[in-house]
Amino acid sequence: MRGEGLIKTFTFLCAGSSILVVFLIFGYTLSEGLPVLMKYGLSFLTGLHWKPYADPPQFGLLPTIIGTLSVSGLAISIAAPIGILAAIYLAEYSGGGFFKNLIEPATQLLVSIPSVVLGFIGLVFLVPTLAKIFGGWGFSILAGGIVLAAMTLPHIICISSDAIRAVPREYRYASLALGASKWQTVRRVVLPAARSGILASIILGLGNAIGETMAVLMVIGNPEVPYIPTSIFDRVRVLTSTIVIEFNYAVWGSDQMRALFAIGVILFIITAAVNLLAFHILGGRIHAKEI
Amino acid sequence: MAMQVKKTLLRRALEYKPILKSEKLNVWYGRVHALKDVDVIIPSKRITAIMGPSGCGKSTLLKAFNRLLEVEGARVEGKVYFHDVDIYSDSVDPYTIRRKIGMVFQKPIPLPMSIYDNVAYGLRVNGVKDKRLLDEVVRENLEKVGLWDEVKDRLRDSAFNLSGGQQQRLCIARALAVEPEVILLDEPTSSLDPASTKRIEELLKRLSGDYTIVIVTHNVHQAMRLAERVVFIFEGRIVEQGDAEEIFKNPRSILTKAYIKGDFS
Amino acid sequence: MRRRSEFIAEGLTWIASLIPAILAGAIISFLLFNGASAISWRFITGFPERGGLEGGILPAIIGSIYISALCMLIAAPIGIGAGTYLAEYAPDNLFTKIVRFFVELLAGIPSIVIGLFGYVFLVHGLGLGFSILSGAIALAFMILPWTVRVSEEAIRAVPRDYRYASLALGASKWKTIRNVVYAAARPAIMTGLMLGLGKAVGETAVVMMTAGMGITGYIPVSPLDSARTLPVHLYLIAGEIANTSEGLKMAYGTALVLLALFLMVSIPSLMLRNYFIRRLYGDAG
Ligand SMILES: Nc1ncnc2c1ncn2[C@@H]1O[C@H](COP(=O)(O)OP(=O)(O)OP(=O)(O)O)[C@@H](O)[C@H]1O
Ligand SMILES: [Mg+2]
Repeated sequence: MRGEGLIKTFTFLCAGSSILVVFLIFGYTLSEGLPVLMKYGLSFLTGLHWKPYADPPQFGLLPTIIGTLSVSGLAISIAAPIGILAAIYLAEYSGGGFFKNLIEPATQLLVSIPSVVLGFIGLVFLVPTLAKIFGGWGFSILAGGIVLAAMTLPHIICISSDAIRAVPREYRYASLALGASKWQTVRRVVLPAARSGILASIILGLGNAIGETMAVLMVIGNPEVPYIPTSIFDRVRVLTSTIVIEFNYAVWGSDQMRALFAIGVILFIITAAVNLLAFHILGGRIHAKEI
Repeated sequence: MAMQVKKTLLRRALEYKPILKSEKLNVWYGRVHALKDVDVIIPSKRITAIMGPSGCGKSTLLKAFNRLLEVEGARVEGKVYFHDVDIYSDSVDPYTIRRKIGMVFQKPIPLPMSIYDNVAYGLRVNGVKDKRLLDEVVRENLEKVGLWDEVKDRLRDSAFNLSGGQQQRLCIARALAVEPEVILLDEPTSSLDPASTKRIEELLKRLSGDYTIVIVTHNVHQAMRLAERVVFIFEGRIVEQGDAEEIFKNPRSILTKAYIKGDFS
Repeated sequence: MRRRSEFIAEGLTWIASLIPAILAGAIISFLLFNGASAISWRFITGFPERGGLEGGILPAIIGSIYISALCMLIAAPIGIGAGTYLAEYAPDNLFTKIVRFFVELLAGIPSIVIGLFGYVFLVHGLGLGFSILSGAIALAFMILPWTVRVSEEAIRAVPRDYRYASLALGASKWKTIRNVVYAAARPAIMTGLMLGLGKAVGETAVVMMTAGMGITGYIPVSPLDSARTLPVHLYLIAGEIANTSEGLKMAYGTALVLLALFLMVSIPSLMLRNYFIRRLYGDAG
């Protein structure tokens, strides 16, 4: 029976390893980023100027934070309505037929197309198209929002259709038996009952959008000196793109490199909060459906 | 003696004036043939009990009456007349039928909203927006089911905070609010305690003057207490239907006899 | 009136549900259409010249396969172990809840943060340098939650009866898991891991910051060699398109090869997965 105990211990350690990894990630990122966070304090978040090569260097992240929020916000406002409608179709109308067997794998496929490929297509197709329609360069919040919407859409569909399916069938019968139509039943009974799951899908979508790197990076233009955008046609930087772009030039041990880690800390905290919220709402099994 | 004759005549008259009637009704769930050539008659403004062993097709028959079957993807053949209209003909709108023929389920199913909104739901989906009218209808129907005094101070509370018996009465009030002519009840008391059961039975008796009531029950005593007409189903076929008193006293089919004695469940 | 709103509602939701499929189809056909002409024997088996603007992408192909395979070798056993614990042994207590939360949390951490971490911890801290090994370990951290979840779900889905049947024959718990549960869950675990491999193949940021991005004129052999993977190569030459016109064709070609590599892993596993799930557990799965 010693073998049994050994196996159990081994699997236990494997399970615990996720905790260790998360702590390692947070610990190391924080220890690199902390000096800059301490040195610049709140002005790191609220400063208007990001000039790492100036003397003395300035690390003000506000334009970048606003850039991040506007790109992800736009993405969610495109993806959420489409995603919820699609989830309603898949959960309520599609039945189990051929159509569903076509749509669901295709949706899964879209989730897993490498983000650099999406970014590349954004770069060679979307950006020139936008430039043609609206003038300017095409690199913009709009381009980033569209590409990110394509990336978050399948996640929103998966989680909300799951939430809609989890609504007890009896509610639908009770409503139909009172003479309500199918759509009235969906809108007045099913959607309110699935509300928290749908909300969680949007929160998680927002978290994904904020953390996404390659796809956005390639289409938002990343101005040399970030500024606060005033329209969706402005170029912006986002948190993640700043890290990738400056990582190549930053010197190991410099304040600039530390500032990039500080951005990493901020991203970590945002995603932890998002996941904590979704975990709480969904009762622990966030991605079960996406498998 | 004269009384007796009069009563029998009245019953006859009722049988010839059915509000719901099926002809050669057949229902399939995929390959399962759940109802076979069912001809059934439901008299107006009386209580009819549908009885039979588990899985024989009682719930299926109820759902055939308000076209809820098509939601489950069942295939229906044959005819069901409501008054003199075949409810399965193309020109008939299922929503109208379901409003005219209400349904209450085995487990109380309060919708996930407040007590008030539950009762108002049926009217709202039918386009009623007038607040005063809604208030009035909610009150009237909660009074009908004897729930008004118990809940009048917490109409905005979630309906889930009510007890099981209260929830079931709420569901009946909700069904009544859209002014149906028929109320179908599928084992409405089987998940309730004896006291709640008694209240619901009294309620149904009271309502039977104004509404046609069809109740599925496993409980022979409940059927004896409530029903004026009974329908016995075995394995998807009707084996006996008619006057309750007569059938309970003098069942013609062996199956019915055995069921009444309690050999099935 | 009501009929019309019913019709509009169903129509709108139907259109919305088509959008992801149309997007996926459009992306794949767009790349096929534009990239096919770049694919040649020389492109697949050649070495990059002039910073990747000419020649082939063999080192990047090998680099991608090498890193993803090594990453799987690390993440799969830990993931299966953890999945086994969560599905078979975990009591319903606080620790289990915490483990689950951390698995979800790890899954949610942006890959760029894992890249940063890999850079301090693996490249500098452990002194592994920009190398295939650093890249594989960092990637393994990234897909660990995926491997845990697919294993747990697959093991959970094995019907209870199988276990009882084996336990009733006197088999110990571990013997039952090894001989009965794993056997039944294997197809689902394998296809799930393959999908994870697809994710690893497509990842850019993590690899760029840990395995390096220098263009290599040689095939990486040792795990301590630095390597540029296909996604990193695509990103870097895509950045050159603005400056030169020659890069575009190479970029399309690289994107197509990356997509093909990724689809070769993903599509069969998606199809097999749905097939296995349906065969084992009916349509409920
Ligand atoms: N949605 C469905 N899909 C497939 N088969 C069904 C479905 N609903 C009912 N059936 C089958 O149809 C037959 C009749 O079912 P029904 O629910 O009408 O029985 P019942 O008399 O109401 O039983 P109970 O007393 O247990 O409620 C049964 O064999 C049942 O298995
Ligand atoms: Mg029943």
